[in-house]
Amino acid sequence: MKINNDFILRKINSADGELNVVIAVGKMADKLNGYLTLNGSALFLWKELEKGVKEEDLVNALLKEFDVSLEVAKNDVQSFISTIRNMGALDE
Amino acid sequence: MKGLYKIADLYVLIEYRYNYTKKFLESYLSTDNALPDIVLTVLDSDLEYELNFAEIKILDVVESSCILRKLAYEITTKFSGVLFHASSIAYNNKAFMFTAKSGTGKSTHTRNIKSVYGDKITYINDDKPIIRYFASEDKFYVYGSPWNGKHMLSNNIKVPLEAVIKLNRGDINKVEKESSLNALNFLLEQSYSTNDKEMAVKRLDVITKMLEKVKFYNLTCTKDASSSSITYTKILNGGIYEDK
Repeated sequence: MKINNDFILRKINSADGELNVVIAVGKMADKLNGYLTLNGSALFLWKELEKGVKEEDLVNALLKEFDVSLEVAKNDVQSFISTIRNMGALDE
Repeated sequence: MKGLYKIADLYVLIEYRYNYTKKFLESYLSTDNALPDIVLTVLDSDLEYELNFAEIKILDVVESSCILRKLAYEITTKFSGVLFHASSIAYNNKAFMFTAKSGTGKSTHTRNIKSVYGDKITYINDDKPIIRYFASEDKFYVYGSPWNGKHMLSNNIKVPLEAVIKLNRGDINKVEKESSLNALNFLLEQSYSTNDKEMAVKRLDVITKMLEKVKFYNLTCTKDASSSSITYTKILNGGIYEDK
């Protein structure tokens, strides 16, 4: 699975602090009108998916990076993937 | 017909067909002996494509929209520039851009400011100012453009960008700092873009920089001229950002 390259992540050093936002460009701009903000584990998972990764590897990576149980990691990964799949951001 | 124009500090050689366009671009004509930074030629296919979006389906009028589309593409992809749907004025050599959903009354508000504060205020562009980012100076400049709205208010000038203001209509006059996320939203909404990916990415680069460097306000105000005083005190003279 990999993030579709019509979705780009940008770090903004704004007056309100660091913001990490995803914007759709190209034809996907009609699907995501505006932006999505990512923080914490969502930002981490997005960056892993930009490289291209399997779902199991994503869970393992999350476990290594964050102090959570396997159950929580699995749920987080599943719900994140489902969200971005619905956005059309996932190439599978 | 062909002409060399100077728009947003760029020499643009435009090849077009209609006299309406010639008049339209007139005040941006350049007599400098310069090589063009941008060359635009209006083709049949361009005009056909533009007709799809045109409210007034007359080719003479459509041609200038065509040129806008092509120019915006070049300025954004190659010259770190973005066109905004905004009314922009200058005060004390600082540019202020008022954005709002169509019909809210940004032109009314800037006209009110001009009517009250007169010569202190200069119009940059009432409809589609052009913003360019210069990395060498780490600065944004706002420029007039020939696309200057119903009242044709613009000047071919260049002013450093100080603030962008989101305008809302209301029964009271109120100014607040705007959050960066809200600012991102209205910058995306009110900036000129197409489905072209490169243009969208470059536009985002400029907007990202704006969020790092420029002041953002949220203004609620009434339709009458008295509303201009809150803008004058708290925005043009930088009231809130100085308050601690």
